[in-house]
Amino acid sequence: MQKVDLAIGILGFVALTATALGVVFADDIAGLQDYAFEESFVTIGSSADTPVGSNGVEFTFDLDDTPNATMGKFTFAFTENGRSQLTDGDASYTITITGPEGTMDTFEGSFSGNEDVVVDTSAWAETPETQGLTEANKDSLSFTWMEDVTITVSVDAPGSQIPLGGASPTYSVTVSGEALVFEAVPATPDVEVA
Amino acid sequence: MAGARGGFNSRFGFIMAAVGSAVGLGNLVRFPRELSESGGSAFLLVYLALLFIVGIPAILAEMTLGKLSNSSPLNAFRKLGGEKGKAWQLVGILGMFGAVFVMFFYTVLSGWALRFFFETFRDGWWDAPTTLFNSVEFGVWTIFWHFVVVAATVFVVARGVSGGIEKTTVIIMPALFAIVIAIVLFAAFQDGSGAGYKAIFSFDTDALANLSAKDISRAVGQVFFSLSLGQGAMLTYASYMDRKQSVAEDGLTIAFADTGVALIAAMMVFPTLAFAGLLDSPEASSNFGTAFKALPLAFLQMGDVIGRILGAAFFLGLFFAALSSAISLIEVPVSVLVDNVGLKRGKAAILMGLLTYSFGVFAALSPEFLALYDEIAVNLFIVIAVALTTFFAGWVAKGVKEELNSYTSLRIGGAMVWLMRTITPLMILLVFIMGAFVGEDGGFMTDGAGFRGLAHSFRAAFHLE
Repeated sequence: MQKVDLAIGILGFVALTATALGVVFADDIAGLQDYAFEESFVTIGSSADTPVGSNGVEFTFDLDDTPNATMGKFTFAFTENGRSQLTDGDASYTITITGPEGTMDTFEGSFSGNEDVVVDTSAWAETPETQGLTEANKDSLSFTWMEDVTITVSVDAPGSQIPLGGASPTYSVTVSGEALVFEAVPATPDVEVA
Repeated sequence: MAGARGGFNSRFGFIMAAVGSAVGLGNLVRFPRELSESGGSAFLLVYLALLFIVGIPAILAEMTLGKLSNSSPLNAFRKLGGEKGKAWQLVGILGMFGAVFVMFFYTVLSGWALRFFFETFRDGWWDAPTTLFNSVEFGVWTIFWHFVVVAATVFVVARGVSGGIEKTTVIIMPALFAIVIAIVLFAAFQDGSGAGYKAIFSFDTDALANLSAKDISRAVGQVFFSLSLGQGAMLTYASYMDRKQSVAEDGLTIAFADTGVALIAAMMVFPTLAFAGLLDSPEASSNFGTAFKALPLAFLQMGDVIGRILGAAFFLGLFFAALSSAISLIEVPVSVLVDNVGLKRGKAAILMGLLTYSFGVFAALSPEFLALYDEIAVNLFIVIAVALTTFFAGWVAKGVKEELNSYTSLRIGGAMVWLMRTITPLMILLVFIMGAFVGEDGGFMTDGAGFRGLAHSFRAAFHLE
């Protein structure tokens, strides 16, 4: 056998070995990661029509099914039945977002009739060292933002007149969110010779 | 016409191959971004000045040595170096190693472009315009596409200079030009594309004034990286030139064609991004992000049929640009194995293909290995090789001025040799020092210094930090 054929044989073996090593140890060989964000739109939940009563009404939504995501924007679509805005004025809302370590954010305001209220929490993504997301989580690429997170929506409608028939005004709310989904992506180097 | 060691059958074939070597991914993506971020047409003037002072003398130096010696890089320096020829072979070795290390990762990048072309037919990037790249740039399947590109390159080079390299490049280079021009013309007629032209051609003296010495040295480096210098590629191709071809005329043609393609590519990329409202998007904040995230997003907005056609054409063109460069890179060590070791071309090509594939596997899996190969090529081999080659052509080799003045009415030999003796190698040496030792803040071995980056990439690639 000529030396060149031997060299080709050896390099062929090296190539096969490199392929096998690459396939088997791909994750170990892979390097540092960046974190990319992708926007997606999810509906978190809808409540039933609920009478407001004199003490207000409270709705609770759990965010358990959106792993690796932080919501950039929540939309609360309020529906009001049986109340006169003309005579009774606006209803008020309090939105509390609670994480595993306590209250993360609170929003208050008022709405009139059927109205969408949008709260923007996109600033959370700028400071991911917040509840559920520690440095250890970041390195192991698991973001626990939205586990053990609860959204509580309280609605108060003082001064409601009991309309004919004696039924209390009812409210429902549908919560949807524009999520910023974290994805671990390779940190692409900017090569000079290209 | 082709000699005993093979050669190009026509001047057109040589020009296409050499322009193919010079025109690569950098022309289509890096240069346009550099232009828009560094001062528009003000930067262009600086770039052209650097092209004349550094790029053209350097490319003419390499080509003249190749044509005079009619040999591979190692033999060229040995033959033309006189008594110290054996010592000067080291310059040829530096260039060859530069080509080899670039090959290790360039075939991976080429694989990205090829994959994206095929993904057009699977709706790959159409369905996920900004996220497909994240999942395919590194990984097990990237090894496959890297293998395909290596195999294609070996196939072309094994078939010889005229039968493989020339036959391939006379097809893919005109196809690339046609693709780029087609997208330029289409983009020109889209609403909102005007902002793209402004981004690249506005005369922004403020941005120019803010260029640091490090930025300028990077621009100089960009000139000779763009011309594929310091890797033995131009020298090798020129060694296959017909005796009666003019190095001066062909060298100038290649240099201007390389810059021309880069400029036209800028008119392709930025108006397209502007039309889609993506000029300042996060996807367009990096070179590869622009090519593989922002532009797919822009093509998406052009409509179902036109968007897919232009997208497929763009990635095919990107692949052609990368393939033609990869061919020239692998030809360097192949020519050394043929000329110096006496191997048959086919077996030499297979040997280099196997080596490229094996080392490239790690670049296909790890951004750190990819960066490491790039840093090694630039900081240890290429820049030094360009400086020494130019110096050698100016001071050591005999007949350079005469060769530059032959077979042409141009009489630039004297001026070029003067530049090769003085300004050009000095400027390249400055580039090496600024690039290797100076950081972004102007400090010694601070962040951004090439050798520091090389050490970091080494530690990161082997998980030592």
